[in-house]
Amino acid sequence: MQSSPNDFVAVRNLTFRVEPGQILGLVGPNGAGKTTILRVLSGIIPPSSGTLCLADHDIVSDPIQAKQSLGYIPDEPRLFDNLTVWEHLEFFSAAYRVANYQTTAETLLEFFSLSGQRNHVVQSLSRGMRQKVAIACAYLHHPKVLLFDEPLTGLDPAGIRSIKESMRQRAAQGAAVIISSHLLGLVESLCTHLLLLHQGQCRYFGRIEDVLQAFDKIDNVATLEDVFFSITNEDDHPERK
Amino acid sequence: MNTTLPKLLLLRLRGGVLLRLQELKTQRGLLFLLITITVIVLLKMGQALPATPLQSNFSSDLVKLRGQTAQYMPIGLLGAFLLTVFLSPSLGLYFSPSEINLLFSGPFSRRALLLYKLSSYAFGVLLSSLLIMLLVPKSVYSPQATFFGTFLTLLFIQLLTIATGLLGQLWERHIFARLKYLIIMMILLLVAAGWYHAHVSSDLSGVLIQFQSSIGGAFLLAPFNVFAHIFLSQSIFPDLLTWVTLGLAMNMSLVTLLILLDRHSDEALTVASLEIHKRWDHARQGGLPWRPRSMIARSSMQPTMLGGIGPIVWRQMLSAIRSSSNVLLTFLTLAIIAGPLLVIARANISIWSLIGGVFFAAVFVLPKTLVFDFRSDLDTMQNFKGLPLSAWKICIGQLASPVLLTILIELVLLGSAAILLDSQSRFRLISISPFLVPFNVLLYGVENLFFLLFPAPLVPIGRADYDFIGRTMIGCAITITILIGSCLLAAGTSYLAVTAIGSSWPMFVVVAWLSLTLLASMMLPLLSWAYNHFDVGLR
Repeated sequence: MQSSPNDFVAVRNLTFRVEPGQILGLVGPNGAGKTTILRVLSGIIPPSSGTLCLADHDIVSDPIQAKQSLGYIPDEPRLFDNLTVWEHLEFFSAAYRVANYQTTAETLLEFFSLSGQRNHVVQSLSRGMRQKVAIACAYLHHPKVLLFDEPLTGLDPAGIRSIKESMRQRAAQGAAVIISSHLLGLVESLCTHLLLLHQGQCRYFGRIEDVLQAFDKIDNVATLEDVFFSITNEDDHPERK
Repeated sequence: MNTTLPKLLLLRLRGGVLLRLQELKTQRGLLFLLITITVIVLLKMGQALPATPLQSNFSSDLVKLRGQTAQYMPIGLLGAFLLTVFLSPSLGLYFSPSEINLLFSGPFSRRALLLYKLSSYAFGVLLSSLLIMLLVPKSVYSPQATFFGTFLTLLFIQLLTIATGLLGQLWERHIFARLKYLIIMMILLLVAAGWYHAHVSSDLSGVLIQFQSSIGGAFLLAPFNVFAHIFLSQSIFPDLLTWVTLGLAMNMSLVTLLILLDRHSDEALTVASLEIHKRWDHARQGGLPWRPRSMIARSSMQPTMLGGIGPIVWRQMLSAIRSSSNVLLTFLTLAIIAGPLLVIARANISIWSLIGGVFFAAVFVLPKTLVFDFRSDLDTMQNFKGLPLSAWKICIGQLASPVLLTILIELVLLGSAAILLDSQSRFRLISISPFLVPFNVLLYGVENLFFLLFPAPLVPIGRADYDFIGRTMIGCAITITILIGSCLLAAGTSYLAVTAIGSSWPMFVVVAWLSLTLLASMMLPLLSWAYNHFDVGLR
């Protein structure tokens, strides 16, 4: 895939595949193109070239079916101000044609500790709560592909735990999960695979264990943070190589 | 004033100019500029056309206008001032969060900060005055008089509003604060009494003249008379120079008063500014400028599928009811009482005047208020983009709510006013009411198309948002041109069809309706195309 909004090539020559059950961590410095990748994958902005398939549906040629299999949680939870938490769930269940959504919706509210806010207008909620509402809406139709952009921003410790747990559950149930985050600890503890981006290009794609082992042998480093700085500094200062 | 702050003002101005110039590099920016230039050129060409019998009448009207300026402008300015005071959020003085965070904590005195802010206001007013000077015909007021008159008048109203806000804030601390409501009640009672007197005597101008000649009226209007004289100045010396000097002195006195009052404003100014910013920020992100009052709500209805269109309509309807129920009720009430009021006023209106009134409300009032479509979703567009729904379904869903609500208000208005008409006109009114459907689809289609191509917030951001003012003017010009053009095209097609077939009035109406509906339905692919090309990444 390649994405170049306004003639600026944000991401180029990128190829990767996430299987059901896998959790891919998308990491890279600011401006690396992480959010652009997620927006292109979710059909919000079109790619300038390339092919993107979500659950065997091409997002460009078959967007409706592809989106039916997709749950996207953007970095900033932009919800509909005048609607309550429950009305958001009603809206998304109708838009995704989810029959008998009530039980699932109730379970999600309980899981995310939102039952008490069921009839609250979302603009009265804190950022963390709105983030949980956005995730609950994305889970409602049991998507086969889940895209998270900085999912833990603004959450309290309990919220962080519940969302991490829910990501593991969804992956175990067969969803392909992609998480974009600057929290390398989160990626290391949660993800099975890693895609490291820098300046719009892929610097590493593969199993997290493999990259850690590879760098451990070469540079005697063992954490994802070390790997991250090792790769990005190499790009920024090639003379140090 | 600290020299850093004037430098900051200039840097911000330069930044604004550079940003506009960069926008011109894009196709949209260039298109917007071309439309703006076309509108201004058309206006100037209209003024420069050789005299025609119609224009001769117009010229005599302009002479009358000068006379009316002297008589009514001071009252108008007083009204504008009162309106600004009542509509201004809080103190009338606004510092942005970046100014509060960076400048309030910097080595600047309150006086320097106040003068910096007032200078930025004055600069905004200066630009407005230049624009107005270009647009006002020379035959009405001289360009110099228009420029100085507009500049000093707008500045005076703005400064007076801020002074009133600061005085009000001081007053709030005293036990006499409750008098505020008494004063508002007295003003309202005076206005109501004057209105009633004018209605009974059927002479509104007589009531206004009585008010002007009274001691209280003369006292209240004295400062505003100065500005009317600036506009009416015939010569630069002594007329214009004298009145401009007086106007300038009044403005400078107000600035001095503001510096004195600002010492007592404490943190109220900061709190008020942050609250205003919160609202503006909400509007800037594309939300409705007003918010629902209740934070807890219970839904009484569930969304229906309707192929995916249902949830979109449902959500917009809920938004309309939650955020604007008062606005909707006001419009409906006005529509209901319009007919009885016209009867009381013994108005003798024709069916065409009625249609003109509905057209005015439809184009200038309702679409700017009933914005339950793409225009209030600037910030949530990515939610729609991610939905498994076709663009045309989302477009229909987004247009449905404002179109239906507008048709409802217009039908009530027509029904209410129909009591004035004779039976034949009433029949004609009924026969044209189906036109409201394609007309409003076209109207909201154009509004939304313009928005999707040139997305921007619904409300002005700050006191001098020239982008907003320019966009509104150009948007209105485009909408009116398309609407009138479409109506004429539909009528022309119908006329040709009826002439060819030789049929009658009902056939004319049917063909015209079909033609207008066809034109309105063409908005859907256009809107879908614009929606698909709407770049969420740019937000």
